[in-house]
Amino acid sequence: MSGIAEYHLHITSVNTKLWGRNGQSPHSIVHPKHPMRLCETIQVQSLKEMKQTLNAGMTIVNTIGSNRYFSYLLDITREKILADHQVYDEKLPIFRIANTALTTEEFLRTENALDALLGSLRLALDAIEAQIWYLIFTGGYVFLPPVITTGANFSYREVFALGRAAVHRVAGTENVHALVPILHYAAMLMDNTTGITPTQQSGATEHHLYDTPRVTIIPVAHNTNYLINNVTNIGDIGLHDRIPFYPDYLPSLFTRYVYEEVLVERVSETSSERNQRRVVLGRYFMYQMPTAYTQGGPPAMPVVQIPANGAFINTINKFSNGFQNISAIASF
Amino acid sequence: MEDQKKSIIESYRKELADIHPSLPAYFYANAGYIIPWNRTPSGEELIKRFLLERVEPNGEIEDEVLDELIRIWVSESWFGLAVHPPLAFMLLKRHLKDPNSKLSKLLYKDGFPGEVAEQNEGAQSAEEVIQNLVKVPQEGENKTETKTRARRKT
Repeated sequence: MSGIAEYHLHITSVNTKLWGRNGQSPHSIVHPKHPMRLCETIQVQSLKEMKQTLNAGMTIVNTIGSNRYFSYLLDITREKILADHQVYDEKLPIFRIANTALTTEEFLRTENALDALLGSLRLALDAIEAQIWYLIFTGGYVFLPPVITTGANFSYREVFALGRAAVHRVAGTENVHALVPILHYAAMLMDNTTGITPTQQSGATEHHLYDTPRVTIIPVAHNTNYLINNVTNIGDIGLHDRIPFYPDYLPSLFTRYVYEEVLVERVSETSSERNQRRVVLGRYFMYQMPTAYTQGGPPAMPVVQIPANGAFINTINKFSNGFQNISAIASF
Repeated sequence: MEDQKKSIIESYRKELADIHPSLPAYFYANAGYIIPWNRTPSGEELIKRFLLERVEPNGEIEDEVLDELIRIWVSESWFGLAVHPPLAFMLLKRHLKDPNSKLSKLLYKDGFPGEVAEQNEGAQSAEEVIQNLVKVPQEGENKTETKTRARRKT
């Protein structure tokens, strides 16, 4: 009887079912509730179609106590309340990210090969863009309340409580979302504080889960070398100190313009490398941001960032190999 | 934790001083957040509310430099990304790499030093900042580029 090799199927194409656009691939590591997947995305044919908007906002109305609005309401004064309204004339950026792969001409001739290769490259770009969203959500256009986040007992439960309460100061919704970097997510899991949806809680046995404020956790995809690999100490957390909380409706108020550029070029014509091709996938993107408030200057979205390093350190101190194992999760 | 915050701010001070010795005086920071001093009343309030500390309390401040730094932070902060210290440092390097930038002219009053230009050869443009933030190196990339370039010359 002949070997099984003789019965090889004749392979004629590459599977493209895995790949989708803009984080919509079933294989995408971008969480389905990440704002990048929930916002309005407009694919444009040229950068000129991207529309910028001015970022503006006004002070949050003070509803606490006997404020001046009540004085006006009760006709104690005729003075109208002056709101601080700021407009930022920023040179808004069009971000660009790109990655590339070397392949062979023979592979590219295979049916669907280029689509599959681009899909693979696109997954990486999705993860990277998801990370940029996190940086914006912890950047200058959001709220940073002056909460004390140090102390031996500071925990993720406090982070959730403060974040959820702060969002409710400006947003009327039951549902609060949080973008959580993977290091913090791992620590939360170890601390057993992530079982915060009703479904998860129903399966939980430890009572303190029921006390955890309800927040929808959205782990942030990040597998990029720059940001996370080789995490060896807490200082390497770098850009991931904070956890941003925001109302669930916020992502739908974003408009995201995306322009993608594909380039296939011959990289060498030496006899040994005549068939090499470089495939480049570039993505240009820009956002219209739902800024509504101002915090003494910059316009701000209804996003509240809570520093969580204290909770992180306290959590890892509880476990013998706490940081080492969390680092391993974040670094492979 | 307080010690950790101090050591983080000290690391920012060193990093800013490496970019230009006078820069630390202009910035306020806490762990993971940095902004130039905003001397308006609302700016002072912001500093208190954010629990920010001055990076170099004894440094001297020149009004023009401070105004330019604030302008940069307002108009080129990439949706507020410049509050992240690593990105802020890249933004400053980008401005000081250019001898014609207003910040360079203000900080290098005696002329733009040649060695600074040389040192900053590796400094990145705004686009490169984002590019580096996200770049996933490809194996064999450099090798290929070298060969392509060599071929163009012939």
